[in-house]
Amino acid sequence: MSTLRFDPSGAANASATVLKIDGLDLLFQQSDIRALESASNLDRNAPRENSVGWTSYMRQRWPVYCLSDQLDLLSVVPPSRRTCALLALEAGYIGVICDDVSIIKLAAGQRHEVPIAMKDAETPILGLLPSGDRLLCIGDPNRLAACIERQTRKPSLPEESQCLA
Amino acid sequence: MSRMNAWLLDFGGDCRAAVGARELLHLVDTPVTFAVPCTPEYCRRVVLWQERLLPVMDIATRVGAQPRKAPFLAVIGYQRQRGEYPQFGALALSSPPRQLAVNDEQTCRLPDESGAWPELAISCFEHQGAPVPVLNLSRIFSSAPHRDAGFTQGIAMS
Repeated sequence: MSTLRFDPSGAANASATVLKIDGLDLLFQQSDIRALESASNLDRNAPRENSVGWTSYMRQRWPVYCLSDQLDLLSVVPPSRRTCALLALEAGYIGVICDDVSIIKLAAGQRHEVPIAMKDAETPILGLLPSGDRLLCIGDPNRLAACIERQTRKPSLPEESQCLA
Repeated sequence: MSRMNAWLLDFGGDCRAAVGARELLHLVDTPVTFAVPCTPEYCRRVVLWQERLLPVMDIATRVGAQPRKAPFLAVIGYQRQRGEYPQFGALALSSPPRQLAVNDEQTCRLPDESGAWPELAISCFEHQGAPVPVLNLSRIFSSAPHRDAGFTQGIAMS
């Protein structure tokens, strides 16, 4: 089982951003996060299908999504979700609503691959980084957006369902 | 006296299987595990063991048995090829494993209840009147999930 040093920017002691979503700690390079906003400030009018509202950035509005800690789309925002993080994509932005956002210094942690027995080819999780008593899941914004897009293409279901990734 | 050459693993209910005596390395009681998103329901968690992150395989879920409490983890080691450095994984257990002495005369067919066993087992033996599959650890832990593996990525409406 391979382990790699996680060094997103090429610099020692690089900073990264952790989005807390229920039991999930989703780690992004700090440059992936362009803005933070209170969830109470989102525009909830006429949201795009399967999104929960809009956020404004660079004179445009971008869809905001609410995800479970398994990265399933949620249509109702739990009360614990107080912050919206705007993620930069190759083309545009998306908002992800989360419980909490923190900036951490990445020191001597070892990055682990997602074990092959559990790794879907299209997973947005690039690797795993144990940190104290928690596990940071290293996310990729573009793959996360693709994961959301795949879910939005499916017909709405009456309750939580188990579908293919 | 027969030589103990297998471990009997209890996954809860009537779901049991075995591994070779040298494949089980460590039993962890009430382990701390971590969930990883976008993973199949039978392998949703990892455990940190000796600076390695091991996938935790829930065989009961994989064969469609009723989910049970699994307060133990069996850390197992296997080789993908002879002479290769060992690989490691973990199996969720309902109770501690028991050692068995198994011989060729006990060979039998795999259980009929689940179509998953032929993919998971390398052979099967009879023990106390019931079939006990012998796990193919290399295949279980070295294969990517199936596309129909039950990833939770639907749309939760509440």
